[in-house]
Amino acid sequence: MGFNMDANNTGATPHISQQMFASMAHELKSPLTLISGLSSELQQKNLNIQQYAKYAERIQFSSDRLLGLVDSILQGYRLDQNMLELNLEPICPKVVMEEVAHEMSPHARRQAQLISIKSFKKKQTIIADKHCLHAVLFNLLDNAIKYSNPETTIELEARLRCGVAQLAVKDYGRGITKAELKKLFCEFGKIKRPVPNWASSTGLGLYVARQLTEAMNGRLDLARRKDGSSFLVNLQLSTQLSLF
Amino acid sequence: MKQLINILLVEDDLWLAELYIEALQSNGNYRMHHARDAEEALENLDALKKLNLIILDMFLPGHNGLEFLHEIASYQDTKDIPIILLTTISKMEFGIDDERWKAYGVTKYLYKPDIKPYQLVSVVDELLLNSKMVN
Repeated sequence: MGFNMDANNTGATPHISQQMFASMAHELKSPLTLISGLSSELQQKNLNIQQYAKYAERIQFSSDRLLGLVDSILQGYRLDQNMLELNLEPICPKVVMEEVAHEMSPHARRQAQLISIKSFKKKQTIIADKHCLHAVLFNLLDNAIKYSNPETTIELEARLRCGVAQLAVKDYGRGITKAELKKLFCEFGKIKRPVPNWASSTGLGLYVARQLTEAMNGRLDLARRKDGSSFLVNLQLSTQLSLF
Repeated sequence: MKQLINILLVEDDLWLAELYIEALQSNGNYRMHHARDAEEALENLDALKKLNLIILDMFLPGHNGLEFLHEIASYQDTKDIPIILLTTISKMEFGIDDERWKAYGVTKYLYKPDIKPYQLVSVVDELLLNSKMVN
C-alpha cells in the first residue's frame, strides 16, 4: 500500500489512492466526532462546573490526538513522495518515549490503562530522526491503547538486543491472530470483507510506523503473545553518549 | 416505581460512550448498560433478552458490528430487539441499501458525525417512547 499506488498515476502529480484517502478520512472522523459531541454538550445550559472542565479537557486532548494523526499522515505522504528530509542524529530514546507517553496518557486513562516506561542508561543514544521516532511511537501507542484491555499497563521499553536498540511497545489485549498478521502491514483492499477493509483502524498507523522506521534504517517487528502484542522498533545504536 | 427502559450501548470509545450515556440518562426514562466490544455484549444472554434497544458502533475491537448483528439474529430471544447502528461510515460509503440493513436487523442507521448526543436522545425517544415497541 502506498500513497501513490494508483495504476493510472503517471507519477507527475502526487496521487492519493481512493482507499488511502478513505482510510485517512475514517481515522480523522473518530476524534472529530468526539470533539463535535463534546462541544455540543458544552452549549447545554444544565452542566455543572466539573462537567464543563471535564468536557473542555477532553476536547483539548482529542484535538491534540487529531494533530498527531494529521502529522503522521503528512509524514507518511512526504516519505512516499520522497519529500521527507530526515535528520538522523544521536538521540536519547527515553526522552521521546516520555514525550509520547505524556501526550497519550489521557487516551490511555480513558480506557483505564496505564503507560509505563523502562529504558537502558539515559546516556546511551540511538541514530534516529526525532520527529519520525515520535510519529512511530505515537502510532504504535495509539494502536496499543485501542487494542489493549481496560485496566492493563502498556509497557514502553528501550533495551539492547544483539547490538541494536529495540524500542518495544507491549500491550495486553486480545492479541493478533495469524490471519490478521498476514493482513497487518499489507496493502489495503486486498481482502474482501463485509466491512470495508480500509476502515480497519490498524492499517494506516502501522503502515506509517513501518515506513518511517525503515526510513531511519531500522526495522519494525511484531512479536505475538497469547496475552497481547509487542511491536518492536529496531534502530541502530549510536557510539555518542548523551550529555544530558 | 417507574419502569425504566433498558438500553445497551456497544461502543469502544469510552469518552464517546460516556457522552451518549449521560445524555440518554438525563431524562430519567432509560437505564443504560455498556459493553466495550461484541464479546462483552454477548457474554450475558439472559441480560440481553431484557433489552429494549441496542445502540451499536460498527467498528469494534475483535468482532465487528455486522458479526454482532449476525449473532443477535441467531437467538430467538434477541432477534427482535431494535438496533440503532451508529457509525462513522456513511450509507453511501458502505454501499448497502436500507432493505439490506433491515435484513441485517438494523432498525435505524445513524451517521455518527451528524448526530449530536441530544439528537441521539431524540431518535431513541422517537423509537421507544413514541412507538409501541415498549409497553
